[in-house]
Amino acid sequence: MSRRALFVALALCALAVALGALRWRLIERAPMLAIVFDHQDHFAVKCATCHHNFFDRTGNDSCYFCHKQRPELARRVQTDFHTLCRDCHTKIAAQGYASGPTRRCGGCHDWRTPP
Amino acid sequence: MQTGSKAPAPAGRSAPEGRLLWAVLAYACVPLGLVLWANGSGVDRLWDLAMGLGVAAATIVALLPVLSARWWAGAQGGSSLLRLMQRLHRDLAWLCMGFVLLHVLALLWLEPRTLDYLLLSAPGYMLAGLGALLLMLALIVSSSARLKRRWPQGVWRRWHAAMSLGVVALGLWHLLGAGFYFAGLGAQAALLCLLGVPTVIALLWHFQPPTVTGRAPRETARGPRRGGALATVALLLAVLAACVWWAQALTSSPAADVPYPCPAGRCL
Repeated sequence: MSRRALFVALALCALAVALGALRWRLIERAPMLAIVFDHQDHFAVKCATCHHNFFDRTGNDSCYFCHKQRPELARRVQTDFHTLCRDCHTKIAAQGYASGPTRRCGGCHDWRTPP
Repeated sequence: MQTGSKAPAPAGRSAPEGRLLWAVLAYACVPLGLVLWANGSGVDRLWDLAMGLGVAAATIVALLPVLSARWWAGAQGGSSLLRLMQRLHRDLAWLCMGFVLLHVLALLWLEPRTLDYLLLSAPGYMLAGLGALLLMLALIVSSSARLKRRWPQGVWRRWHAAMSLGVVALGLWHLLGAGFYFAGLGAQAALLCLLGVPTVIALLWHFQPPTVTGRAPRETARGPRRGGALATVALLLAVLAACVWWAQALTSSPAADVPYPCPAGRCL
């Protein structure tokens, strides 16, 4: 391998590491999108399906407190909540019942409505 | 594909090529049709169509390696068959690029918030999709006759094959990670077959190259389509950039920045 190729390879590796670190920082600091969640629509779902902290004693605050404040959870908050909500909606829809949104972001994230 | 006489290929599309093109398109749309049919409830037609363009593009990308002139060099049919495969490969590649760009632009138009998925803070599977798009651009640009001649044939072919494999792998990651239509085990297995079988065949052929019985004409640098390849790619990128800018402007309006937790106790 020529010296130039080695230099380019090393530079690319360094760039990848730097971008990776920057990416984690951006994910941790990204604001959490407002979510429309009506409990009345979810009476058929067991409380512990979402509120696991009631039983496993991992905290007493809102979802936001742990899932956004703790870095290890903040890095996968989007995947965790998307999996929890969307997969449940998809499963119920596949059984032929009326279900919650599974497609567009605006179905759950209510960022257009002013406070 | 790279060797042979200097006779340029005819500009028009032949009837067999047209039929093959439609056959591949039909094949690429079958999985999407099945998915839409199975997910009858909660369907959002435009959204599903935009997503379907991405699935169809991934299906075509996986097929492209087996629809290249190199792998049909040993078949009966001579240079006409090779020319047909050469043109089909190129047309499908452009079609695929168009599908992917439409997939991105349509989703940005339907849901500007998806702009977040084009940023560095996006989930890995979304960055994989973006990486696949950039690799496809690199594949198309590096396949122009003018650029291809700058590299030794074997080197270009190896890079082309490696990048193609990268596009399929990144596309698979993107589709499985997004999990919109391939969440269940059966759907994931179907997707693996859809993308995996042509890729495995292409890899097997790669390590056992066919005996060359026919020769395809060398592509000319001043062909009617290849001449504008770079300009087209630049135009598509400009449209994508404009759409990203527009989506950014839309999502950064004051109403978009609702602080968390949101009011009226309706939020998590």
